Amino acid sequence: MKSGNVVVLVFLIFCFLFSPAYADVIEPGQKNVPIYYVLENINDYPQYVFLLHGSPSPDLVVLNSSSFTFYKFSTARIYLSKKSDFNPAAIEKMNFTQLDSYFNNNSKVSKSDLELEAIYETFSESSPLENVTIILKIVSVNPLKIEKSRIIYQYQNGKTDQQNYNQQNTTPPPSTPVPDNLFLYYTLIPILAALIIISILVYRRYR
Amino acid sequence: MIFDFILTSLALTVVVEATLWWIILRDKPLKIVGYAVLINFLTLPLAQFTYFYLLNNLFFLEVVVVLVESLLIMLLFQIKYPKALYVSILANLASAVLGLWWVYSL
Repeated sequence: MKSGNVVVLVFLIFCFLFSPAYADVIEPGQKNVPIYYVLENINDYPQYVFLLHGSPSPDLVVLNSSSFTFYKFSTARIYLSKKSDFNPAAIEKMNFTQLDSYFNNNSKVSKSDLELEAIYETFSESSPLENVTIILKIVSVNPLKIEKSRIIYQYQNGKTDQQNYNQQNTTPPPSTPVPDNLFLYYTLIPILAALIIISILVYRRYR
Repeated sequence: MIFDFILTSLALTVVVEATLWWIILRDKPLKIVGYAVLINFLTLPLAQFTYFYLLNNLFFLEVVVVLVESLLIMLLFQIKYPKALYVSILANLASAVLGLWWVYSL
């Protein structure tokens, strides 16, 4: 085999080895960007208790107006119970099976259709995106309906970028999340380099 | 932190690629360094921007960078395209291996 072919082969093998990994384990140099959730109008329903239950965790979290998140590999749902029906002491004593039954086979507990995830995406560690917060809105309690209202992208430089949800299944992307000081690096330097290269080539062509 | 990352990656890429180009092409060192700076100042910021914000796919980006750099190497050094492609693949392979080693060791 010619040496040129060997180089191409090695290059292709290398590229396939380091193409995006979708395993659960985070790669060095990468970071998970977590999602925080806020139930914005939870205080409009003082007679109800909003609960978070997920698999494999959390078992039970009583929600309030503060932001919440959960274990990165879990998926979770929001449940609803009347305050008068809610007995936290009894729930704490339940084992996994009883807890699952409490949430899923219980006429006194309503389940939201919305499945929540804890990780927005995995990025390079140098990515300026720090976290995202999804603002949830309780549309109705009977039946329980919760919708994603808006998403707030939070960057390391303190900037935030808020986008509204037009469709529940489509997360609105951030407007270009480039910090101002890096914008020059990403635009001016390549443009200058391109101009100099073109100048060299044009000069050679017509001298 | 992000500036450290950008400056180090830029310097590392230019040094590695210029060294490999010099080993293969045996041209004037100053000319090689100058072209390495120009070509990498064009491709690296765009590749990093694409990787961070648009497409998190190292394989695709490496292939595009290799193709763009091979064309520029051919034009600037006035050599035949197969040799330019060979130089570009080797140089980008080396800089990617070193870059990944550096990122993994952070």
